[in-house]
Amino acid sequence: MQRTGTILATVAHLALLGSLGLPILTTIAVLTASGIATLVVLVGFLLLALAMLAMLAVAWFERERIAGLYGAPVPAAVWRRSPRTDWLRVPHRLLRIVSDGQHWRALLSFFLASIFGAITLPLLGLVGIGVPLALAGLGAAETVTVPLTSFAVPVEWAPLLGILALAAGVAGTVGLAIAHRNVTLGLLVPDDRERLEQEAREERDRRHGAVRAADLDRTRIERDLHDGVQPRLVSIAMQLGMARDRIEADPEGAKALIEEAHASSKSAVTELRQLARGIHVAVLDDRGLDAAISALAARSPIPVEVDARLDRRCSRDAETAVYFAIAEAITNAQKHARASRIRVAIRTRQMQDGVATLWARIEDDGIGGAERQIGGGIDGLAHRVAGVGGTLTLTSPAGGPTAIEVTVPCAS
Amino acid sequence: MRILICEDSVLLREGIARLLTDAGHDVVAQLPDASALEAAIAATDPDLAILDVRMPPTRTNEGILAAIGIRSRGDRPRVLVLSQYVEERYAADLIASGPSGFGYLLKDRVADIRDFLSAVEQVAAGGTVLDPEVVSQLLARRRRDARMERLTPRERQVLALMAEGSSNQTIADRLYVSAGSVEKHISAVFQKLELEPEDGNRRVLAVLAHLDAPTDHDSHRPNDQPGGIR
Repeated sequence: MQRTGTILATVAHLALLGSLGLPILTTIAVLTASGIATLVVLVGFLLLALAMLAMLAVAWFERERIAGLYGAPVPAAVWRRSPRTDWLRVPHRLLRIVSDGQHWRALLSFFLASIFGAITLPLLGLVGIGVPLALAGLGAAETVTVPLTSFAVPVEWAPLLGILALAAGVAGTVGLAIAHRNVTLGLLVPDDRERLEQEAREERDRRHGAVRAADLDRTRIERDLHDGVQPRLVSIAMQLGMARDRIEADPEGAKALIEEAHASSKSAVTELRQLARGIHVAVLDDRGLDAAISALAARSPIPVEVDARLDRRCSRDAETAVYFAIAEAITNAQKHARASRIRVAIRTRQMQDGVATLWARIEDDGIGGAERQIGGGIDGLAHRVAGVGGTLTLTSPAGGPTAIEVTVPCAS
Repeated sequence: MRILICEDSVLLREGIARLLTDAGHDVVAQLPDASALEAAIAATDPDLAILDVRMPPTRTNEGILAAIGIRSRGDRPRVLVLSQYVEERYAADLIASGPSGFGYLLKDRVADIRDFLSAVEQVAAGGTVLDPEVVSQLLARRRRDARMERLTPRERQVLALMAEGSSNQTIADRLYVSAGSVEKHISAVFQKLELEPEDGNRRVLAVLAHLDAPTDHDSHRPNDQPGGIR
């Protein structure tokens, strides 16, 4: 059974919602209806957006209210993000939010609470009538007027009537409070099955991201070898072969060829080193993200300003994902953005729900217009980040600036 | 001779051009991808086109498709395909795409300058040159063919060298035997494989066609009809 305090608080909630809930919902309904009616003249979009915002606000309020009232494990609102990074991101995200049952359930809970509240108010009225009636017998009058009405009852009936009204009012109110608790918790607190399904979904997305990222990685490594190191080695062999053929007839020419081969072999060594670093970053394991990013920044031909404030080490997966996100973003800025400077900010953050996250933002002052193409660098990044349960957003209007933000759970 | 080079790696393109120029050939065009290939061939009329298999935009088998295109239109230019990895599938497609000779070599063979230059000469003259790796792949596929099992190890070596496009004299030099015994081995191979004896380049193609013909062992493999890429 609930404690009296909770019941009293619930009754207060119901009374408040009984007076305010329905007007709020009516306003939203009117907004929606007028929005649909004026869609033709485009004003409708604005009205519908307002209605939707209001609904989301109500859903948020309802969840907060229930969590505060009952201390129940109401899951915090999840504002689903879109995995897309192109111009469809915002509508897609809206669609995902609207199609998310949790908001609608919270809205329904608010609606039911308002209905319960609307019934609670007259019941409270009964209590209000009952008390003076019950006490009226103490007076000396012949008849007693029932408060709020014009009925008069003989004084000897008054206490009985008063007690009846009081009992009916209290019983009804308490019954409604209990009913409200059960109904709303049933709506808002997911049962185990639903929770498990949700977790399985998240896990599947995560696995898909990880597999895809590994796949893209392998493709990238093969391509780097194919486009970079291998032709260089073949050309060294060619230069040496030509030098060998010519060493007697034209020693000077042969010497020049050997010089070239020597220089090429040194670049091949450098390329291999960078390729190996691209596969596994040793300094990241030893010294953490800050050191690894500083090394990355130092090698960049474009000035990179690093602002890292990290108060802890995160899991290796999380750090690796963020490191490669930053590395890829810097590479993109160098290759395509024609940027003159790059800023990298990295933070560890404690979220409200107690989960620590690792957050990074990379921006450049380049020409913008970066897109997420299937199989491209940013796509690979997004998969890699999704693989550790994180999110990536890209904003890159034509004309710049480009900003990439990644957030991953610290202990992924 | 007049040679066109189509290769996306600048380093290799320049290197091959220089190598060929040094050897007295005339490099008439250098292209970074196959998009302008047709126009360049029409404009320069080369004797030989050297193509990289993997080129932009798709970086898959552009060069093979281009080579098949060129070969299906006749004998000029001859085609030498260079590939990062050799695949007998691609060789099979090239074999199926025309009766004349062609070259299909691993890109790294360029480093063996003399071999590369002689392959260039051979292909331009209408011969067929196949990378030993392709040949060993083709042979590996046929290992379980009953007729192949009749071959002695020596005959198998001769078959492999034949498939690579070597002349009798080259085979004799490579195996340190007389030209006469090479002849004997070759006729034994043709007999055991139930092939009509042939000479020169047609001989290579006959061997290759035989190696590439699907057998019962291949019947479970999809996309294995000769004719290749669709």
